[in-house]
Amino acid sequence: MIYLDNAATSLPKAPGVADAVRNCLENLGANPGRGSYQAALASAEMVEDCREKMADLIGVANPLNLIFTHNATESLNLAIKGFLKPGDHVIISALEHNAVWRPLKKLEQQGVSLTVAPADEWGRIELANLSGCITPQTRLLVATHASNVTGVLNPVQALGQWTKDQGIRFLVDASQTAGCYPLNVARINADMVAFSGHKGLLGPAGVGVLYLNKDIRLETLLEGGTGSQSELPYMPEEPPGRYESGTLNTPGIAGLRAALTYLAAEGVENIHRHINTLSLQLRHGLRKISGARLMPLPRNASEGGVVSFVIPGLDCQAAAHVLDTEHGIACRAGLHCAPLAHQALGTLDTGTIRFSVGAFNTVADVEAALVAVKNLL
Amino acid sequence: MAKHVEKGPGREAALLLLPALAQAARLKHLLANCGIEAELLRPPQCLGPHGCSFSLRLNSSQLQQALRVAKAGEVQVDALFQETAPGQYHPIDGVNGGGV
Repeated sequence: MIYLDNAATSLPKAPGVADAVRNCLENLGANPGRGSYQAALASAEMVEDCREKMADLIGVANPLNLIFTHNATESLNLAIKGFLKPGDHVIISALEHNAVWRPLKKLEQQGVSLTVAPADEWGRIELANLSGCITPQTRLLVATHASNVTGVLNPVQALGQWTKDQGIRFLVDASQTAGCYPLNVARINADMVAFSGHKGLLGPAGVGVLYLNKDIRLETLLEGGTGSQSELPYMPEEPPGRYESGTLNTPGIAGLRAALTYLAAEGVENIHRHINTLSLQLRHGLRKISGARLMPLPRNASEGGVVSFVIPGLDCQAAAHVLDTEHGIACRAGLHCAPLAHQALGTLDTGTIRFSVGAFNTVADVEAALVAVKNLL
Repeated sequence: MAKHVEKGPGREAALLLLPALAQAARLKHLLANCGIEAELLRPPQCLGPHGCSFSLRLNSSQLQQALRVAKAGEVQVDALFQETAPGQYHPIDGVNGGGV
């Protein structure tokens, strides 16, 4: 199999991840933060070391501002539902995933108002026209860092500065960039950043992360045991425990910790360069195939590993099926859980075929994919 | 695994109580970076409302430096105790009951 669905999840995982998960299950798997026997403390220290490594990777000064969840969707739900109240107004980009869109549509039914920001031809927020969206009730801007449909990047650094100037908060969905694009939370002026551990971070599924600026207090999404301050009838105030009710996914965190060790040694910049080279090769090759129509990207853009295209007259799901069964190419087709983006790109009715390259793809993988696409025509 | 902090004449231990495990582990990490060894443990339940949290046990002589490290690292310390005998603690006057 040639795996080109890294935007859904990375495959393979980083070296050491599977061993770390197995070691946790077999040797280390006591519940962290509950008991005080040696094995429980060792498990707890592993979890906190993972938090430290994550903070180092994304430029967070205090790891206590990183919350472990079970996936990016939970992180986004926590940020959105924990922050917004009835009467509030929120602005989002036209590239948002359903993990942002659906929680907000639910909140809309409860009195939160929502504006989709004006988009340029690539779906990015048009900063020049953003001021027209703001109202006295606006409290939050939500923007994906990179689209999971086309890979195009929102200008998060400029957007972060804009939110500061406006006195509102900024939530970034970094699900497509964390681990495979140099990301520094402080540099982009983000108040909250949500992402998963199993995509660019190369860890196992089942761990998500939310960075939370220290001066933001969210309402909790879940209430329950935290292993601390058990005498209190309400959730403790201090992050991260306030937002981490119930047993953490310790084996998943052990795997993520191993992945972070790998990423620190390899360098995210180097991985990004590799992914960018392969995506450019894919785009260049697809452009030369008459009959394939690439989703547009800005000129000279250095984007993520996502390359989306359509073949007019050929159903994208049927094409993906043939790519899989006849050529061994694993890719995704359809709307990619991002109907807003397809609306902006004009592909809501057709969907797209999406190749997404990752840290372990090769030039040969890309060449094989291009040959397979040619054979579809 | 954490080693026990040495004890003996002039080497009494201090106990720093923190809100939860994450804070305790974070401070332990910061202290280790400064060459201060601390043991992560659950404090005795008899320490009242602070009993159900996590704590760091270290040599009393390093307490002031540890508190400076905690402050610089934005780690909240809830209370301080002096270990007077194995498993017996007395509050350090003037610092408990409102955070340190």
